[in-house]
Amino acid sequence: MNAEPLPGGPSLAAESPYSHAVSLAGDLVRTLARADIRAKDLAHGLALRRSRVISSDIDLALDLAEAVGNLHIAAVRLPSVIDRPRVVAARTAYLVKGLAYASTAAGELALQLDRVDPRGGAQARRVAQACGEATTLLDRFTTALHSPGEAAAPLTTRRRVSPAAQWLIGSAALVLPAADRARYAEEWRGELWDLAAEPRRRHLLHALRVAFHAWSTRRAVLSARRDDDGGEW
Amino acid sequence: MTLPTQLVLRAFLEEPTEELYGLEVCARAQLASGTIHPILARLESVGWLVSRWEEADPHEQGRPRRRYYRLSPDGCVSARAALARATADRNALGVLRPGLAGGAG
Repeated sequence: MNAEPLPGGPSLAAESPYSHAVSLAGDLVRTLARADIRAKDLAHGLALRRSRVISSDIDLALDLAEAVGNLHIAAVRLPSVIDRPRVVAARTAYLVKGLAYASTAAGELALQLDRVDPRGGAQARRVAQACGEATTLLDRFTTALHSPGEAAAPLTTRRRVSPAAQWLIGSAALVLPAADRARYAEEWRGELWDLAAEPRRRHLLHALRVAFHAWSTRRAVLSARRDDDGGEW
Repeated sequence: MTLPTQLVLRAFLEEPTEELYGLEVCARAQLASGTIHPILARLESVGWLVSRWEEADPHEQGRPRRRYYRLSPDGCVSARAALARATADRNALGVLRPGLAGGAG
C-alpha cells in the first residue's frame, strides 16, 4: 500500500523562527483559558453555595480565580511581544511565578475542600492540573524561543516526526472512504506532530495504534452514512 | 456502550462546552493515543459530538491543523443519560454478580 501525499505535508518548512513558540503560546492561552473558566466557576459556585458565610477557602478560591484570570491575560499578550526578548523574559518570569502560586493555591484549596465539599475539591484539582499543563507549555515555549535548534526543529514535521510513523499514518488513511481520507489524514498527522517532542518510538506506537484502529474508524464512518443501526460502540 | 466510549464521554462532560482535540481526549480519558478515532467518528455520526478544524493556517503555524471536538447540546443531554444508564446497568450487574462489578466475593 502506497501512502499518497497528504495535504499540508512536506512543505511546512519556511516559516519564521518564532512559529513554534507562537504555536506553543497559543496552546498556553487555551490551557489558561480553561483554568480561568474552572477557577471562576469554582469561586462563584462556592460563594453561591455558602452565601453569608466567610471562610478561608472562599477567599482562597477568589484569590485563585483572580490570579488565573491575570495569568490568562498575560498569556494572551505573549505572542505580540515575541520578538522583544526583554519584554518576553519579564512576562515569562511573571507567568512562571504566577503559575507556581496558582498551582500551589489550587492544590491547597483542593485539600481544604476535600473535607467539606468533595465536588469543589475535584474542581480545584482540575485547576491545579491545568496550571501544571500550562507550566509545562511555558517551559517548552521558553526552550523554543531561546535555543534556535529547538525553535526551528518543529517547523518541519519530516525532521522531527519519525518517517515510518508518517508513512503508517498515510497508509492508515487509505483504508478510509475516499471522501473522508484527506480529513482524517490531516487530523492524524496533526496529532503525530504534537508528539514530535516525544521519543520516536512513541510516534511509531501512536501510528501503529491509529493504523490498527483505522478499520474501526472506517466502519464508524460508513455506518454513519448507512444508518445508525444501534451497534456496539 | 463500551468502557472506552464511556471514558471518552466522561472526558467531554468534565467541561461540556470545551473543545478538545484527539490527544487531549486521550489524555483526559486515560486511553492510549491513537485509539479513540473510531469512537469520535461514531459519536460524531450520531450527532453527540461536533467537530471543526482549528482556525489556523498550517503554513503559518508550521504544523498541520488540529481537529477540535465538542459535545453538541443534544449530545450533552444524551451522553449524561447514557452514562447514567451504563452506571445503573453496572450497579445492577454488581447486585447479581458482585465479583464482576468489583464488589466482595
